[in-house]
This record gives sequence, structure tokens and C-alpha cells, in this order.
Amino acid sequence: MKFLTPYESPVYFIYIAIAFIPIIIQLLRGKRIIWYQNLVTLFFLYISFGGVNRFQGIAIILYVVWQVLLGAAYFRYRQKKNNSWVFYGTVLAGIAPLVIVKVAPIWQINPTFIGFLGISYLTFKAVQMIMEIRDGIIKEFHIGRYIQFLIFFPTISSGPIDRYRRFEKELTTAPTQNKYFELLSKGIHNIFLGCLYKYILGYILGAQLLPYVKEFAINQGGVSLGVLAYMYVYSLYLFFDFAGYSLFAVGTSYLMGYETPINFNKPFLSPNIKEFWNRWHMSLSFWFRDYVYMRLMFTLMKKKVFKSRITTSNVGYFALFLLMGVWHGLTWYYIVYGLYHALLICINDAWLRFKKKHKEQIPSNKFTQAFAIFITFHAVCFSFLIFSGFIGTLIGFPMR
Amino acid sequence: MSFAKKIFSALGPFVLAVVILVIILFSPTKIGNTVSSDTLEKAATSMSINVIKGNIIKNEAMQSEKYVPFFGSSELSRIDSFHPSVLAQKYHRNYRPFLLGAAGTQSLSQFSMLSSMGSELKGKKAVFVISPQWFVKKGIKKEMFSLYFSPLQTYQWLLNLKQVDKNASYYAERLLTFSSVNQDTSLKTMMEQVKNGEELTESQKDECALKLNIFSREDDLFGRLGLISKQNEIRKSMKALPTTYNFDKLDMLAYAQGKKLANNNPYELNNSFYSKRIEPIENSLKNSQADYDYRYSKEFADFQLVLDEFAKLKMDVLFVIPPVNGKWSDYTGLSQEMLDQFATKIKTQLNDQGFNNVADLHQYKDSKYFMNDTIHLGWRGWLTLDKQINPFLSQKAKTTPQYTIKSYYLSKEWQMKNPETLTSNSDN
Repeated sequence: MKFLTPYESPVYFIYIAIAFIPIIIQLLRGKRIIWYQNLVTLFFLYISFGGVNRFQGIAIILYVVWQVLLGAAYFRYRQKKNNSWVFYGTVLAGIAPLVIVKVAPIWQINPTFIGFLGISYLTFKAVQMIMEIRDGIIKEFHIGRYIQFLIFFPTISSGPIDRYRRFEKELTTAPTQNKYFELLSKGIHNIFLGCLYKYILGYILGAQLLPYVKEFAINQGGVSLGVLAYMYVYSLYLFFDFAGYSLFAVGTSYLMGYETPINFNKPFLSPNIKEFWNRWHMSLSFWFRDYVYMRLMFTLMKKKVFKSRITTSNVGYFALFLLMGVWHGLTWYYIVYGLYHALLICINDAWLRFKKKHKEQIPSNKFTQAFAIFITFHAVCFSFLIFSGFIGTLIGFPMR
Repeated sequence: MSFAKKIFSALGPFVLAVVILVIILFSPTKIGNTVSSDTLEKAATSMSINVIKGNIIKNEAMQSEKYVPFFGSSELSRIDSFHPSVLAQKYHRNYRPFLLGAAGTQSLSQFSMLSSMGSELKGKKAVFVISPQWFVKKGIKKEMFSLYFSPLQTYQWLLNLKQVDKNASYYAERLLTFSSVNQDTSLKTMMEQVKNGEELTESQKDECALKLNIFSREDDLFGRLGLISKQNEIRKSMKALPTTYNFDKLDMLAYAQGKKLANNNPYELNNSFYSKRIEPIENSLKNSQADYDYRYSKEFADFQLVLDEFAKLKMDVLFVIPPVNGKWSDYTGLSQEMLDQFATKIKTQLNDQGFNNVADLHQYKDSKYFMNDTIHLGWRGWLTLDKQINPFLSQKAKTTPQYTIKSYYLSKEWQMKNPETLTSNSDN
């Protein structure tokens, strides 16, 4: 048995091509074969979380059991009562495994007994479920469907983060033949584009070019052209690698007849930082927007914590991006990365307000548009330079 | 029909591309021609990442009688008139250094290179510069490891693994702590097995052979790209040297060069290094190294892998322990006592196993213009070292060296051993 994490190598797609034949044939006839789909899911989870990764496999089973029990218990409770503290407690219990995994490395503990690849993404899905149960949007708690939603294997390790209601609708109804025909060709297209992104561009940038610019930057030392080159190469690598992965995940979902939301939409052409977050890792930013930012804003406004709306939204941004930074990992550069983005958004908002007031004086044409894209691109690339942690490597080397 | 056509037009070019790629990558023989002597000369001083991670160039160089591997790290890149490469060329020595190392290559990377050259190095000589700075508590930094990590050499190592001994399982265990290794599931599987003392299965060996072939073709195709030669620098540096070798005269010249090139700061650091790297943050560096400790480190065990490989290959090796610039360490509070103890510990590890060629330069910390900057050998340092390198490399070895490798030096106990207890032990 060959073990592989999702999309790790082209071999994974050979498995997909073979395993999917019955699914595709049935879907072309307008039917879903759920039992077979579940069998395929178990097979792919086994090759990803078996063998050397078996401890992760055990962790993921325990994790899913925990989330399902939590969801079911909260659903039953919510049918009768709606105490805020019970809700907070449930959310805390839902994110507890993720928090432990993220915090444990601080004490040099390797949390292999509880962590697995993709725990973040499963937690996002689970927390979303709890919140929507509270909102009363989830009218029925179907354990089987919920499990299928959580362990949907095409998106398990890095998203995109789907929404339960959307997924459930597709799970229970098969797409029409014409619709599926379209999904099939889009799926194949996405997978090929993903190959270009991840296995070719991502490889050239990450495995070939990145070591060069890294070496160049280290040999020059300090702030240099090498660091600038590193910033560009790393940013592009980050994009092509992750966007490639997302294309695989979306493409594979399409082949199975699920319209998993796309995750990237030409992010480097964004004219401002807000637009960037609407185009970069979209399922994550929308998740943070809907389940953290909006809810936080709502609470802050209702309780009138701050007088000015501007202050409220700025505080919200800092809280949001700090959380996002912490989620990436408890190291200084992730946290600085988060705070830097919060600052960028606040500046962007202030600029938009300024622009509104001085509409006549500020020109808007193709040139300013291009300039805006240029500025945004560089602001973002700089944030990825922080994110990479390379600044830390560069400092103190080799002056020791 | 239209669906089939659609699929065909979408897949056709892709399939063709895959076929071409497969032919190139899986072809069992070399595609490129052999490495020219010109390329070898360039590569010998380039310290380029391709050379370090690849095989084609360095292994070809090792086949020739001319090149001698110099293992080390950033110090090798500090070229001046007294750099070993310059002296060897100027005075027409019967050897040329082939520099294997760059900023951030430590024992694990050196071991990887060494094992990948195995057959070419049997019974040969080498110079190995041990930087005390490698010996931080956790050993090599993750980023540095990933920079020089070579899948080619790793698969080669796996394939050539005759028996899983303690060294092999230690190496596998160590590799598994780096993401470059454990993100590759099949590599991770094999390393887990080696770590547990299990042999690879036949099908795993086939997989290694296949991957090795692919990486070798890649090395063939791209290994020669982007070599940045230091030959110009070397030729320029040669011009300042007198035509005949006279140590005292050269020492005076080295002193004079140092005096001229390191005069804008009180630490005798070369001027550009000082103004670029130190001056902007000078105040923050005062006493910044007071708690640095190189006595307890994973690196001792990593280094043992290198020693074991040297012993297996029956190589005759000159080990160099460079000093830290004394004026600089006084400023940053780096403990000289700690450095002394470090030298004692590493020499114990060497001598106890029969590695007796050690150029311990650490007592030269206060010699003027010995160092190029804070931790790297410079003018008089290189020249002093040449007094040992030249006779060592120019003369044929009389006997094959005898080593007794002790796996104790891989242990946690040795990594954490207090060097102060060592001297008292050897007295008893």
C-alpha cells in the first residue's frame, strides 16, 4: 500500500481516476451512489491517514466523534433553551483540540496524539455548524450527513471551507445531467490548471528558484536586493502552491458532483487590500468575516462599547487579524503578519474616507488603477516576507 | 462524439507533454555530456547550491586526482590572497581545494554530500572546518537544513544502505524532524523503518532506484546552471602575492593587508562587513552573546555521522577548529572559557576515535588580522592554516589511518556531557 497525503504527487490522481469511474458513470446518468462515495472516501482517508500517518488517523477518528457528540448535544439543548454561556462553552469545546495543537509546541510538546493534517479546516466547519445551530438556521441535525460534510476528502487537509447547508443540499440531490457535464469538464480543467500551478510553477519557484534567492540573500546579508528577490519568489510560490492545491480540491469535488466554492480569484490583481482578501483564500476570509468579524461587530455595536463606528470597525479588524495570525501559529512573525494586515485595512479605510471627501481633486484613471494594483501587490508581498519567517533567519546570521 | 473530441483536444497536448517528460526523466542513461574541466574549475570555488545538492559536478571532480574536498561553511566564501584556493593556484601546488559548503551547511548537510560521493572518496584526503557556531543547542536550523536538503543524495543514501546500523537509524531519526523529509509520505515511511532498525523492502528499493534515476536526470539537465565562479576574485587576489613562497614575507603581507582593509572599527573586522552588518546595530550587540553555549548540542551527534563516514571511507582528514575574533567576543560577551571547553570536547571526540590531524587554531583569537570578521578566518588565519594544509595535502600518506568508531558519541549523554568532567577523566 502506498500512502500519500492529498495531492502530494501525481500518483494521487491516478488513484482518483480509477476510483471515480463508477461515480462519474452514475452521475452522468443523474444518480448519486452514496454508499460507493463513502467507500471511496474511506479509501482515500486511509491512504492519507494510515501507515506512517496512522497516529493522525486515530486522532481524526477521535476528533470526528468528539465534534459529532458536541454538535448533537448542542442541537438537542438548543431546541429547548438558548443560554449564551452554554453556546460559548460549546464553541470553546469545539475549538479546544485545535487550540491544544497550536499551543503545545510552545512547551516543546509534539501534539501528534491529537493533531492531524487539516484539523484547522475541520474545526472551521464544526464551529460554523455550532453557530448556525444557535442561529436556528440548522433545522435538523443529521449525524450521517454531518460526518460526510466534515470528512469530505477532496478538501480535508487545506480547504476550501465549505458551508454545511450548501453541501447538504448537493448531498441529497444529484446534479442534472447537463449540469454534471459542465462540472465534469470544469473539474478536469481545474485539475490540469492545478498541475500547472502546483507541480510546474510552484515547483520551479519553490524547489528551484527559492533556494537560490535564499542563498543569495544570506550571502549578501542584511537588507539587500536578495531579500527583495526572496520576497517576490516566495509570494508567487505561496500563491501557485496553494492555489494549485485549491484547484485540485475544487476540481476533484466537481468530479464528484459537488460545487465546492473556489478559493482564489486573481488575488494579485486586487486594487486594494480589502479586495485582496475577497480574492485570496476566499473561503477562509469569508469564514472569518461571517463567523468572527460580523458577529464581533454586532456585539460591539449592540453593547455600544465604542462611540465611533470607525473605532469599532478598526478594533474589529485588529481582533480579526490577530486571531488569524495566532491561528497560523504562535510565532512572532505570524502575529506580526496579522497585525500588519489589520493596519493595512485600517489605512485603506481611512484612505477611502479621505477619497470620498475629496472626490474632485483625486484623479481616477487607468494609471491610478495600475498604481493601486502595484501598491497592493507590494504591500501583500511584504506581508508574505514577514509570514515566511525569513527575516528571523537573516538576522543574526552569520554574526553569531 | 463531441464529448470525446472535447476530451481529446483538452488532453492531447497534456498527454504529449507527459510522454516527453517521462522519456527524459526515466531514461536510464545520462543525457548531458560529461563535465568539462572548465566547469569543474568554476564549480570548485562557486560553493553553489547546485553543486552541494547535486552529484554530477562534485563527484566528477572527486574522481580526478587534482581536487581535494574542503568541507566547511561560510568561512570558505571569504576569499582573500591567503585563502587556500588562492595559495594552491598561485604556488602551483599538486592539489586544488574543491569547496563543499556554504553559509549554513552543517554536519547533516556535510554527511549527505560525503555519503553521496562514497566510492570516489575512498582512501582520499580531505580538510574539514568545524565551526563552533554550529554547536547551538538544537543543531542546524530548520530553514538552513531545508535550503541544502538534497532528495537526490537522500534516496541514494537509502538505496546504498547495506545494513541499518546505529548511525543509519540515528540519521533517519534526525531527518524525520525536518519537514522537507516528513512531508514526503513515502520518504517518511522509509525513514521510519530505518529509524526502527528495519531494512527496506525490495519494492521500496525499486522505488528509491526510480526516484534516484529521476533526480539524477534532473541533476544532469539543470545541475550546471547558475554556477557563479569566484575565479576572478581568486585571480585578483593572486596578483598581490610574491612569486616565491616565503612564509615570513607572506605573513608580513597578510598583516599589511589586514591593517589596510580592517581599519574603520576597533574589532579588526573587515571594513565593509563592519559598516554593513555591525555598525547599524552595534549597540544592541554589546553583551548580546553572553549566554551563548556551544558545549551542549545535537550537533555533536550529527558530527559523529560525518566521522563515521570518514572512517568507513578510510579517509585521511585534517580537522580545523577556527577561533572567534577575540576583540569581538570581548564586546559581545561570548565566553572564552566556554569556547576553550568546546574545543576540548570536540577534540576528545576526534582523538578518542583516532582522528589525530587537528589544526586547533582557537588559541589565536587575539592574533592581529587573523580573522576576516567576527567568526571567519582571514588573512593571517588562512596563512597560519596553510602551514598545516600544505604539508598534509602535498605529501602522500604513509599508512592508512586506523579509526575506532564509538557509537557513544551519538548518544544524548555525550551531547550533554560537560567538558569540564572530560579533562579530569583523562587525567585519571
